[in-house]
Amino acid sequence: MKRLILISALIAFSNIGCSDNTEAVSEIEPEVVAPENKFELYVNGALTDLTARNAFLIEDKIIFQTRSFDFEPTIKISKEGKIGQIHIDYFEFGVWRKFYNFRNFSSNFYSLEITSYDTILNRIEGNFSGFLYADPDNLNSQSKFVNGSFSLPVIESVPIILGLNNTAKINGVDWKTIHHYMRKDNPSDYHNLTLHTLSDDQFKILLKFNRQNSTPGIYSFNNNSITNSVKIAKYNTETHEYLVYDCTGTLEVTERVFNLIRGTYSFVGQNPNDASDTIEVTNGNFFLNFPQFD
Amino acid sequence: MITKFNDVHPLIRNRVVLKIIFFAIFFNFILSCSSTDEVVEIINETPPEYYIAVDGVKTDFSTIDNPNLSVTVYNDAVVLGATLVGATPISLSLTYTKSGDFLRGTLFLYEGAPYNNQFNFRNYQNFPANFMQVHNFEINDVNNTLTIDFEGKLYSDVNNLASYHRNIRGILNKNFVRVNENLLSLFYQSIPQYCTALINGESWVAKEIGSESTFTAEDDYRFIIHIAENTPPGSFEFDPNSIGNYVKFQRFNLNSNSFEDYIVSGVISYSYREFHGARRYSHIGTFSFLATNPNNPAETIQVTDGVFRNFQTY
Repeated sequence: MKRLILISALIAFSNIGCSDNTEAVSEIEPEVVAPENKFELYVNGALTDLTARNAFLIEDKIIFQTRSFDFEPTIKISKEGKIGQIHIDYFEFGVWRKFYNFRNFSSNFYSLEITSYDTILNRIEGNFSGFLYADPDNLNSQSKFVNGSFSLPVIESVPIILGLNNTAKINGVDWKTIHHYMRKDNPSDYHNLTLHTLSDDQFKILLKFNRQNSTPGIYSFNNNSITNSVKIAKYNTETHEYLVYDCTGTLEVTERVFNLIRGTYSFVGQNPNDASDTIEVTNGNFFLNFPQFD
Repeated sequence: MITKFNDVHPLIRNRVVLKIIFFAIFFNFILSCSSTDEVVEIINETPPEYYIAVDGVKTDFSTIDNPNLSVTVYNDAVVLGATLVGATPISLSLTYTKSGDFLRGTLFLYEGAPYNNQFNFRNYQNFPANFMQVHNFEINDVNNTLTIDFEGKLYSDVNNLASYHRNIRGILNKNFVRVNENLLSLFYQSIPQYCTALINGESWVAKEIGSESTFTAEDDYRFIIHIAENTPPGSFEFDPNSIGNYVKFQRFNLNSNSFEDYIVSGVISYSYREFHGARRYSHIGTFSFLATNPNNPAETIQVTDGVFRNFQTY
């Protein structure tokens, strides 16, 4: 008899446990409050009226893009929080003007922190602060202090160019560009150009091409090579200048399509002022577009 | 002999009791936890109206009724068109035959307002149906809906399968707009063109002009028609050695990724030619021939009832 009571009790217990899942869950589950979307941006301490509904994940970069009547900021960072480019279009005295983060060794001059990036809920939070300059290479140019914070959902978006990158090992350490820009080597020459590829650190890798003649092939280069060559430069925070190393190595262009160029490289750079200071760059791998001249 | 339960040895009795408890709890658990609501929910789940991804990233067409995503059914083709203005401005257009074979596609991506750079990707131009797989294709004329499931590549170089490309994937179940017109009418330098024939008795219609007087469709066939300059109207026999008036019949070889000439023997005739200035003419005529596979003489193809209007520059 006791056993029968025990069996009945166990069956009844198991029934209670499972018979009405929904009610049981609804009783104990706390009300889920959707996190508030926030994008705040201050210019010289004044809060702008900017709002943003989301951030975009494009391959390995996060882009914040929004606009109002007199502001149009764009923040491009890596998923790890490295600064690619921060700039605002700012309507002032009747004209639109641009202000950029100082792009050389950018992490030394601008602060950006991702405090939370939930890849399951696709949500990112963080803050930023520092000066933006009218000339991204000149710390003495007109500047504005821009700071703010964000807490936004992240929407994945199709990359316009899939696989844009420039990666290498600098003295065996992985290095990856986040931002690049293009300059003419000579103001009147539209063919010989240099792609300046930047991470947020002190290094910059410069790839020199000729729009017409940099066709697929293998190119050996030395420090005197005008084109189809690669150089490395290191930013000096005291002189605020780059030291460009004397470089010798090999570049292979494997593909030209649209305004894109793909290839590989490896080389050794030597400090022109100190022969014992060398930098070895290996496993160079790039797929870059030729943007408009900077 | 029937043994009373209480007469069984206590150890055996306990095992039996434990087994009863176990099975009772197990079956009770299964029965009580299975939810008929869940089953109904799964059965009633309707497929999404669309899914389009570029390189695995779902494009944000934001709402089901977004007018930027459209399907148009013509008399001879079905066109899926999609545009998106956002973080990545995209324009996608895919054209299928009414039987669901892929014919042509374009993907345009724009960089930087006011879109200084445009990256264009198109289908591989040879045997296009082979390079954009269609897993499911159904035109429902009652509900005016198109169901389609496709995947493939669009290339930066339409002649090079190794060129920079983008992967397109799509699943749609969407209302279409019907337009009672032909979409696939051919023109070359604004001159109307056509080339139709029966291939082993099956109708074949040119839907693309690769280059001057070169006709292709969604499949692996290619016709190249040539009439020598100053040839008067008439009928002309041709074979693989003919250099004046002939039809070249080719099939795309997927192993070599190139067109192969079939060994042809037949007749081409033209009745009228139109002068377009500067040694440029279009010819209106007919053809029929027997084609033999160069790699397999036992395989022959009978091409009959060929009708064409081509364009040639001399």
